[in-house]
Amino acid sequence: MKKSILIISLLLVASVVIASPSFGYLASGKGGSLESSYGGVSLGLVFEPFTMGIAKVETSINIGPDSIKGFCVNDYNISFSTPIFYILSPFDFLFTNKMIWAPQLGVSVGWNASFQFQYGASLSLLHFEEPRFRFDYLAPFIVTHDFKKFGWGFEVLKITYMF
Amino acid sequence: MKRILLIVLVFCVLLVSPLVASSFDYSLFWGPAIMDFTYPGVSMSYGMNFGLTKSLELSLWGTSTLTPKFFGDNRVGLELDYALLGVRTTSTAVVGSGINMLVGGGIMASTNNSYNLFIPTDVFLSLSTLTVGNPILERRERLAKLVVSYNWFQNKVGVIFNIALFDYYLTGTWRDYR
Repeated sequence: MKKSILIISLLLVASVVIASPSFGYLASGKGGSLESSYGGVSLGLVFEPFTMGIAKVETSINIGPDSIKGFCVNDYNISFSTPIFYILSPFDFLFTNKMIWAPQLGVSVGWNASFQFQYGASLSLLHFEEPRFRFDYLAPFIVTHDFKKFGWGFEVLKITYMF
Repeated sequence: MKRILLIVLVFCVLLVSPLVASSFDYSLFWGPAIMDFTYPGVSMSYGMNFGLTKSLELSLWGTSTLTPKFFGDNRVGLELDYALLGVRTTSTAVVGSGINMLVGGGIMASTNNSYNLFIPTDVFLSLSTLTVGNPILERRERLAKLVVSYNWFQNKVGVIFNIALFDYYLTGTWRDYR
């Protein structure tokens, strides 16, 4: 009996996740510096298990010129982000449609161009959402691989399309 | 250096004020930029656009690096563009075509010269491959804009590429023709 209740409960929880999953892909212009400086295009996939973009998971790869290695894969990241708040956007002039303004706080793990493990944190104050599209403007991030030396960068524009 | 920047700013304000008063439409814009395809960083373009006629527009823009040095390399351009696919605005409440293409050219100032001063250094040609939207609609996106410049101090060709520039029109929109 207890087992059945547990299974049903798990299924109910899983149904919430499965009923509202949203998958998407993203493209962004991103550049930063730690031991070398780089800039390029990031391409990636997004998974939003819950509504309102809570606990969003992204994985992306950045390709472009690096100051030491030349044209290469600059980083590979898996990031987790969540909105700080979620309100109707007061910036009506920016978009034709009504948008949600949901600044995001995120953390990431991944590898840099030298295949060193790295950690990062990001803050996207200008994150806007509509049912299909997400837009991030001028989102700064910090990155480190040893917690002694820190680098920083910007995601200038990120566009995400959700299926 | 600060004095020169101040003079440039005052000059810009003096230049811009009558344009705002007399132009068909006026917009502010920004967008991500790539300064030379081998540059290891990201940049941003920003500026103002003035509709001079139904086919011509004047743009005063800047492009600055964001990484690795925040506003480390700054360029300011004055650009005249011509709409290739019909009028860029109908100047009426009728929206007209939302698709266009712009070709233009102008002069650019930067510190990329032997004096290390912020002075005119380049002439350039530009092509905005596709524009979506128009002043009447209040918004316009200029997609895949390529600027090819020639620096006569360094005898060097440069490139600025904007994957998208977002125009937000303050005047000359449908609200003004109601």
